[in-house]
Amino acid sequence: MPATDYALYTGCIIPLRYPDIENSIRETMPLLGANVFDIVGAGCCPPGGAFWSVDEISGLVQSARNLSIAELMNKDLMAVCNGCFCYLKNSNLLLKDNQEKREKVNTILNQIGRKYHGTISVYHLVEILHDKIGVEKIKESTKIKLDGAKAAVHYGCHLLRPSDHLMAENPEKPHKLDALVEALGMESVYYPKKLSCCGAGGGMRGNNPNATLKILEKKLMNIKYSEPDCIVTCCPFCFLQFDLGQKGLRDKGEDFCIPVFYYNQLLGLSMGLPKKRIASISETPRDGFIKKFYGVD
Amino acid sequence: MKIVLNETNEELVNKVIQYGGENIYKCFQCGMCASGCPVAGDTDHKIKRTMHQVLLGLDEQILDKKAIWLCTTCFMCLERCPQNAGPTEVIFALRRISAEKGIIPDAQIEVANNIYHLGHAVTVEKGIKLRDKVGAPTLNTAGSDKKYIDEIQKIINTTKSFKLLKIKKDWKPKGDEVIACD
Amino acid sequence: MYLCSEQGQNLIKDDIQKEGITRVVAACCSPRTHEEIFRKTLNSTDLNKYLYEQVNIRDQCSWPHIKDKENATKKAMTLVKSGVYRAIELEPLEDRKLPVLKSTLVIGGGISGINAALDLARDGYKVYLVEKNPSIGGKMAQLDKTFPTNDCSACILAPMMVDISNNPNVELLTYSEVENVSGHIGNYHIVVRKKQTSVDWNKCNGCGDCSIVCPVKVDNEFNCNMDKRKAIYIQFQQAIPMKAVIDKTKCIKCKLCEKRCQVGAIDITKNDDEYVEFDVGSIIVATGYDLFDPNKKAEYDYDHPNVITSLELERMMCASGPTKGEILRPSDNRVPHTVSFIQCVGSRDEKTNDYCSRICCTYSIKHARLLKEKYPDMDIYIHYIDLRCFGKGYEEYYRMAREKGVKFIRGRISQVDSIGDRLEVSGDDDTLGEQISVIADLVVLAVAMESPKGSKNLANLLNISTDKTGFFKEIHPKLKPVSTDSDGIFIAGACQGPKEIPDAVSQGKAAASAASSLMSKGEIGVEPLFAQVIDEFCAKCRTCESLCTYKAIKYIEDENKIEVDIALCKGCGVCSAACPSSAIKANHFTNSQVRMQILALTGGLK
Repeated sequence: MPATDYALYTGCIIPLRYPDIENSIRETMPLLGANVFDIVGAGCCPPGGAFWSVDEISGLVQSARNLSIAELMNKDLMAVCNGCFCYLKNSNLLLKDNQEKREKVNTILNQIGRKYHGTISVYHLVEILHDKIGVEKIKESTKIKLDGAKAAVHYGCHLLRPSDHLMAENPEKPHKLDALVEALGMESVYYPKKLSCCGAGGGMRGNNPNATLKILEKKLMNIKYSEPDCIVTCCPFCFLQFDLGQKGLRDKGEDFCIPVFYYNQLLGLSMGLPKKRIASISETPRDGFIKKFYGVD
Repeated sequence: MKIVLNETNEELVNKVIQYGGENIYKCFQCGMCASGCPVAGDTDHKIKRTMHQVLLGLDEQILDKKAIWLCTTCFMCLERCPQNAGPTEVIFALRRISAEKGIIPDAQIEVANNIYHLGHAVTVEKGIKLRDKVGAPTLNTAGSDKKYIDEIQKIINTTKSFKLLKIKKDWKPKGDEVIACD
Repeated sequence: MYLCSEQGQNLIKDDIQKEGITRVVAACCSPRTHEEIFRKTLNSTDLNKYLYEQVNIRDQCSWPHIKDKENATKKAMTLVKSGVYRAIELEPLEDRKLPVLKSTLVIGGGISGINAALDLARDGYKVYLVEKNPSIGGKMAQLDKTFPTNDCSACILAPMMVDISNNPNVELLTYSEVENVSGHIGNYHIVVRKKQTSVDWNKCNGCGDCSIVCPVKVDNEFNCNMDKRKAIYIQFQQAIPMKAVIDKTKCIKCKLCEKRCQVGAIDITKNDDEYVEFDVGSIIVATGYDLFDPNKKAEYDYDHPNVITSLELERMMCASGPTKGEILRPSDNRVPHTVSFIQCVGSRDEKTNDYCSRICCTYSIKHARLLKEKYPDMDIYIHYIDLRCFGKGYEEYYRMAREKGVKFIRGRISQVDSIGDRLEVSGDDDTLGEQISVIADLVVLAVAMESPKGSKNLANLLNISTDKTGFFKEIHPKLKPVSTDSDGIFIAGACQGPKEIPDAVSQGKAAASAASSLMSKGEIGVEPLFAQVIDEFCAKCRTCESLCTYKAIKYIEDENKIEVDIALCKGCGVCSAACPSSAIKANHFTNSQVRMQILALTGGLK
């Protein structure tokens, strides 16, 4: 398979809270024929909860700055966080489509010597893994099969919705992450309200810590329905919510301790990559799962 | 409390349309939005009621309250709305109107100031330590160099958000906690 | 005073008679609704009715320019002027007479088509009733009880079906489809394809022995695929005609049925369809509806065996249905304790169908009542947006459901999730202002009515219109509810739009009455708006012949002459406009009439 190059947009949470996830992406993707290159100087996407929530142009212009750097690399952008994917793709479409907004944004970007052209596309990691690389290639590239392991797949909201803009998945019956998880030999189990929110987004985690945990608790109760061995997600903010949120619930005396993985962490472990580099940061323990299914301490 | 409907703010709905909630008139109050909302059960954020309040011009019941800031922006209501009335877009519009009145929650201010001063929604120092620990390559995103942060500050300075998100020149992050990112 | 009132018309009559008026121009509303009235006014005097011109200053002026009174008034004055100048050039014309055959083709053998066919047959007209299924009866034959009286559907439908089969004026063509339609009002030529049954219906006595010996089991469409039928089958117990059909796509050609049949009716080697041709004077389309496919609403999890459609529940309720009238959860055949009805599935939804399907509120109430009567302890929820029980007696019907303890919850359901062997129905209760969930054993989806597959093709075949939802379009929603834009072709029942049985029956009868009044005299007067060739100017270039959409123009070689068939000509004017030597005159739209109009509009006339 010819190598395909992507501009890797890491966002905020992955490089600054879960750099092991970043390592897992950097090390697995080239093995599947997708080379990643850094978007040097990339800032926050920015989030819908703050900038978009007060003024559209304020959000657009920051997205456009990130896109303009990737445009200089002449490579399509690979988003590895649902929030980044949603707002960057949305901005890219809006700016390609709407001349008035594009001009407004470029006037502002001009002050810092940058310009948005609309020459690249934005993809989510899951789209690249499923649509461009393909499940078969992943099966061939992994040595260790997770036979017997049950995974609760969590897509996260901003990979799916709003579907008429994102067009990454069937919004009511998504299947790509499930297929990717099953390519590792795991069973992707059913659980009720699989498409519902983890409760982190939109500023909720900061504005109402109690409610955010209550929403997470409901989500986890549904996940527990199928007694999975782990939760697999493709969004670092959902990952963080499951990881830190379960700790928060444990601190309140609740019993939630389901191991959480970003997809590429499992992919890397299945390829035989070292745990320390790609899956060693978490507040909710995962060592038991890794020991049981990979035989690694 | 009895509400006299013909003494409400008729301008509210037009303002919501102007600020991005352009399909609000399509709403026929079926309740699909509230039905699938992840936060409705645990907070005062009742999206169907909000849609109706906008249509009736009951601005005091929406803008002065915190509920519109409790939306997780999961877009489930927008996705399933049978009339394509765009409830999430209405929430964004209301937040914009509310911010112009100076009403904005602390979490939003915190995140915006982080982005303005650090280039990222979360603190950077802790991140660099973690990167060392797992052997990640040297950070080269906006947070790695003042010249990128300057770029971001310059563009934010020219937008309305500088004022609306109450960005301060002398800012100290509250902590390493991740508050918001999407 | 309204000009179209008796008083107004008398005013016109007086002026014609007393003032010697020779042309009449009315500046008012649409000719579509009012031209006929004023023409009749002229007819009652000595003035020829085609010396009347109507200027539409409502639809084409005051309505679209409602916010610009001044300019609208100017435009109206210009329009009136153009009408007056056109009127100067109007010529007296006589209606042409066309013979009308006293026979009708009815397409679709549901309750609407059956009523139309019976009414016409009883009045002495020959009726050809074409139905694509092996039996007539339509969707109503699948229903158990009917609202608002709860009488048994089969009990009221079956006698009418028998009437059809006994009426010598009705020629029943079931398991057949209309293949081609040509001709015009009063005289259509029809080709019907009779699908091959491989059973000689003249011999078949409907004993059903063939089905018993047939080893091939296939999904039974009549019971919504909830049980099996055989590859050779009689559609249902009260089928009319009560004849067997071989499903050619499923038959394994074992010939067991052939050997078993005591009257020797079966010949499985017969493969070719047969074609029947006949002529009729009018056509009634009554092709009914299809149900919305709930798989398009993945959030309601129709894949789950215990999530069913209303029609599936209806078949279960029926004593001759797959469960013999018992209500059982498909997953384990146990009687459900809690049942949730989700309304508006595929209705009032811009993502699927934006219209209201009209019948679902009342049929779900019917289902809930019938369930409560049979299982008084059953816990029943109806999740609705607005309850639309608009018909006569429906409000009382709804009240009785409440009295039986059915719980009505206002608020759309977001999703259905499987929880163990039950289902969680998640939604919103408007009145409580809270999210709610119901743990149900059975979920019933009130699926929308949609225009049947193939409507578009049939519309093209008949040259009639469909609206944006795919249903056939009537000429006027209030005044001409069963007429189409092709004279002589009528529509009835749910193929025109969602409707319940009483309305479908009314329309069937209305269409029969419209067809009957068309055919009763054996001829009709048609507007003389056809093209005329002025032979002395004609160069026989045959440009007109190649352009005519209706194939109304022919070159007659023997006489070296171009001839217009006035029965086929629609008066569209294409030939007249295209003729290089101005040798074709379009009646009532002559070059001089149109020229005057243009001059008035463009200010060329002072």
